[in-house]
Amino acid sequence: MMKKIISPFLFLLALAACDKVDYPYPENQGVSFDLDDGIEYIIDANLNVNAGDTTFLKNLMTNYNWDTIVAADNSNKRFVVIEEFTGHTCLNCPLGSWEIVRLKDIYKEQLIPVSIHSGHFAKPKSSEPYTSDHRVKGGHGEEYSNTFNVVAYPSAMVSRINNGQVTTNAQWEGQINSIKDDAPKVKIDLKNYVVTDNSLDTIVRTQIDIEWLENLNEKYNLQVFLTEDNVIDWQDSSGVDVEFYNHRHMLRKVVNNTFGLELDAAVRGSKASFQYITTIDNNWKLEDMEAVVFIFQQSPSYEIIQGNAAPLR
Amino acid sequence: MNHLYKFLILGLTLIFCTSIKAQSFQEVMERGQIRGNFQFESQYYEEDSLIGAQDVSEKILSNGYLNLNYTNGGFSAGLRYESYLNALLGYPTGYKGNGIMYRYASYKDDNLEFTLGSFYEQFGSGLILRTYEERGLGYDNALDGVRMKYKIYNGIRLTAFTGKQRVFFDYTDGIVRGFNADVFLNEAIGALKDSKTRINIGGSAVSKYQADESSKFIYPENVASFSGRADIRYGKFSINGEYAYKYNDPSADNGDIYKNGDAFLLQTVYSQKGFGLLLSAKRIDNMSFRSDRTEGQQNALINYIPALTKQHTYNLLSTLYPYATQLNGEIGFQADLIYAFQKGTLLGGERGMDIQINYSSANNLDTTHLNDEETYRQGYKSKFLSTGEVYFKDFNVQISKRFSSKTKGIFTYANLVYNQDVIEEKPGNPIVYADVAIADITHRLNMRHALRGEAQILLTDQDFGDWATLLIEYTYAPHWFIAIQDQFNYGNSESDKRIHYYNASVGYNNKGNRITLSYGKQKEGIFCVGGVCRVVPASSGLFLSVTSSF
Repeated sequence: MMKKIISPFLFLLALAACDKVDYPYPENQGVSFDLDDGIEYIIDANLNVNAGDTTFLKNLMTNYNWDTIVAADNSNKRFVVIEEFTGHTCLNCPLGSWEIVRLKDIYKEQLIPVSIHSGHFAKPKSSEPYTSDHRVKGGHGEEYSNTFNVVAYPSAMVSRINNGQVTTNAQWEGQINSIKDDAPKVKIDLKNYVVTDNSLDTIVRTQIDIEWLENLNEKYNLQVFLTEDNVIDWQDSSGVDVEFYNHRHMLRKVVNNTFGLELDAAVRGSKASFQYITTIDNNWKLEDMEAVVFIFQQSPSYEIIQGNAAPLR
Repeated sequence: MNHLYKFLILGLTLIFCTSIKAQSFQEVMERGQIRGNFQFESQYYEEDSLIGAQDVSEKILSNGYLNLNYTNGGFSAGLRYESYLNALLGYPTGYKGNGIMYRYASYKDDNLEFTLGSFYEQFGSGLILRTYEERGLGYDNALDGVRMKYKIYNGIRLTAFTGKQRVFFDYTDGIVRGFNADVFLNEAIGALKDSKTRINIGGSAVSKYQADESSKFIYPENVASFSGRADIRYGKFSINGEYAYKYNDPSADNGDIYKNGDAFLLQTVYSQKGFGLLLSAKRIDNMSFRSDRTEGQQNALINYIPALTKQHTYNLLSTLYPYATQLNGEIGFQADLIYAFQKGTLLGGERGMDIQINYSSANNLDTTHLNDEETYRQGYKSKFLSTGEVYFKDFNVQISKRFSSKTKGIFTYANLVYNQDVIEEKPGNPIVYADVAIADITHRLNMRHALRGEAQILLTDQDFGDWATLLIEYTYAPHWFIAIQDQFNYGNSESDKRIHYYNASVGYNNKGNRITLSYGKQKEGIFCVGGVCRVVPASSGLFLSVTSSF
């Protein structure tokens, strides 16, 4: 009898449920279109295009003049993506950023840097000087920090090798060298289309053509980022407040969700094409922006097997 | 009436099911009792542009209520019929028409009680749950659903419920679920049975569900809150405290921030004959908790934040600058001292004298804006004990003195600090600093006749300036009274707004019945009960009130 009486109470106690929302903004899922040309078009949800209505897409492609910017060829090289975790009040982080600049000079287009502002040091302050919020909208930065267990700064992942191992700046060059000569498993051709006459400077089209160079058993995802270079703002550098610090390769937008889009099975010779049509914030400098694209193995590996990047203008 | 019919059928069925086997239906029915009360308020409105009293198309507005409660042994059932044709000015306009929104059936034996239908409930001091009706405010957040109470063991009482909250003649979209345990340690533990120290502890959990249909934000569909409390009494001393925590609950109240909320309430009392001291404090941080995140004003509130300010009754103190609790954040303190000077002492004189000294304050939290509207929307950080902008202060002294067997007086002085900008949501309005003095003299002419007079003055350089109120009331016991009052805004900086708000009233009491008729002008103001307030618009006209209980 007692059990019968208590059960509903316990049941109701369990109902005292709670949903903890870590990030309040919904993921930008985008809307997919197929124009029977072998390309999957994915339009940013911010553009409010209804599913099935191709008017916007056709108008976009026919009524504007588009310049094409083509990324480097990586059919014979494994490009390396270095994802740096940083923040404007992290006094040691400039050491990491400068190391990445040095490495970029060495590896050129084969090294693709992305600076993710996240964690405690990236939080904006209520009073000057650190009032800017450089964290990427969508909560993705925190999600990456949590997933890859970022606890110290400066730190970065080199193509997320060793199951997304986060390492310090002294280790990055060695890690790059350990994989830079690997034969690529997949090729990523990347092209950005931007309108030539500034009549439409808030929309960019990023065309991604992939071709599998090997048969692979694991599952892979395609990830698309937008980054902005040369963002001048305050930075704590070794305890000194630097007003005109040059923030490099700042992650500005995660175009296709925190962990990207799952690809079809990796069969040697098979191809797939995607075109992301996405929006640019007015405050971002188009001339300093890049589309960064990479393919990574799904959890728990997360290893990036190929990447590429191309400027937006 | 369809509801009523179903309801009676349900009640009778329950009576059958729970009646003692051997008793006949007639015997069972004869034990039944019906009690209730009736209230009717109606006003004939006159337009008065001088005081801002608007023209009312209907001319006459009325509120009516009838409560009926039937009890028979452990069974009880009841309902409240409400009529707003249309609602009196100042009441939420959602009250319109007639209907029964409150009806219940309940059964109770020694250990178990269950209720189906409408019910009011409070866990602890109400920090995470309090549903109640305050008719003067048009406030009714009754739950409609199922509630169970069970005494699981000596001194241990459990409550659980699920329901939807009433909003006018509808229910909110949200579902509220709750669980509470109260443990009376002196009853539960044999060794403490005769202890002079009495200890009660309790814990509660309340959760609400509301679907997320927003494309702008990801709203938490389930929001949980928890509280723990303790009450310790030893002789003349008692202390009780409660802490409540609420998970992310973005809403219209807090500007859709995702910060967790918490509340802390502490109260100590020392009381002996002729002396009482109460000290209380609270800290409220982002604790607006509604079953509909889009609601405002007093609608769909699940919890209640106790007011730590004195509830004044005199006209100038209670209607001009009363404090409204700030759910989004405040720190409040109150000290209340009561002392009775005995007969024959210097201040007590021949008949003694009572003095009450009260001080209360409410401030904003000391917050730091986080500038994260585009990302995590935590909104702000707050320091635990540091206070911010002042919201309200009230220092008041009240002396009650009987001068002779026929004459007694109550004298009050109050000093108020009132942040209109926050309390009345009037941005830019200055903080009001006011001094108030009141004399209230009652003289009994003989056994049946009494005369009472009130003289009140409020001095301030802000808002509408100085006010004075005079009231004379004549009582012919036990049935009749008549009163005349003038509230005069003599210090208004605009001479044409130095208005007399006259009011005359006559009332008749007989047993459980009371009829009051009044005519006059009512200034615009706010009316508060326990820190919950509603705006009272200016009005002019004839007001009738009838109440009856049976």
